[in-house]
Amino acid sequence: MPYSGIIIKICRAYTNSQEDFEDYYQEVCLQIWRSKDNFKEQSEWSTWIYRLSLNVCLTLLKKKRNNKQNITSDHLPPELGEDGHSFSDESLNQLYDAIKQLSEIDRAVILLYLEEKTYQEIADIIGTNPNNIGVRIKRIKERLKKILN
Amino acid sequence: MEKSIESIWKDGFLNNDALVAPKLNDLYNQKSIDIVDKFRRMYKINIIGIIVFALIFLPIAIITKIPYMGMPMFILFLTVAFYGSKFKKKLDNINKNQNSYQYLKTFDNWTKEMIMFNTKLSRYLYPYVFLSMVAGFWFGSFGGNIPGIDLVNKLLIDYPDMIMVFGVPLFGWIGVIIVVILLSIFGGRIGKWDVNIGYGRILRRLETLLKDMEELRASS
Repeated sequence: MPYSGIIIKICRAYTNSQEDFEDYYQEVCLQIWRSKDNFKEQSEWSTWIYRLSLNVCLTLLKKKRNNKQNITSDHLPPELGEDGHSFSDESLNQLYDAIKQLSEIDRAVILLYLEEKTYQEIADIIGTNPNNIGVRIKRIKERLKKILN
Repeated sequence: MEKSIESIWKDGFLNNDALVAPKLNDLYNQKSIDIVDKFRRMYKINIIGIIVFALIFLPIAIITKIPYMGMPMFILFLTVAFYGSKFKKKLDNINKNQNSYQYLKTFDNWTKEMIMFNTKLSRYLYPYVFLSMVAGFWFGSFGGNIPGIDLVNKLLIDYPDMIMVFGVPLFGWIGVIIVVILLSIFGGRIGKWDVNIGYGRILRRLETLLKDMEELRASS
């Protein structure tokens, strides 16, 4: 599948187990297939894939959280580290573990930043004002550094 | 020296193993269910739309004094909805316990049968619609006058030697017959075109998916 790299990178950031990762990956592929006719060439194909992948992951995460809340009203432990070691590169695993501690939107912002998207593209994809993207990225990077250290 | 997060990211993904996509075992299954469900929803909405339109059309035709158009069209819409419902029942009865390829293949056969029926029906449907419209306006009542008779009277003043058949000018009959013949010849094509407007996108998707699955089956 073309652009599978993008989908993998995003799905990894929103899942903690291989099983979830495969489910999310499959759902993103399915959504791309469902929506490809709606793709308008106003943006690049890759930008559209980023936006759609993030939307799917956020929706699935929300659903998962709602399901958990229905099962138990107890405080849930933070979602971390069931299967954090998904890559052979240990530093990358640590970076992903750190990214997973960010809020869902901050995760999207930093992923897009690391993928070298411009502030304008990041703002377009997550639907926000490009003016505060720079400040936000700076803040997220500081937080990541803190977690990594 | 400590690596920046940018370089961790870049270096981490330089290794191709990091981006190995998982196997998508269930994707074709989900795609099949998705296509059939979407089609079923559209088909159902279409049938409901036809029934609602028929129920609105009849009183409007009576109020606007074109009942000769309203009644046949009402009957036609209900007939189309009736056959549509029969096909919908067949669609609902497709066995979901088959594998995704068989499921799609059965659905594909159903669409072919439905299109074939629709094409046949269209050969009669469009001439019927045309005749209903002609009858509606010919025998309608506008301001107390019957437009067909008004038209004949006006024509008789200008062309008193005009040949009449059952009170209608011969060239009128010829014109109507030509249009009816043309519509019955091209009705099938118009019907296919109509199906294509409504369901073309989903049918093309079905075709691609089946082709994909056939290639996979052939290579495995």
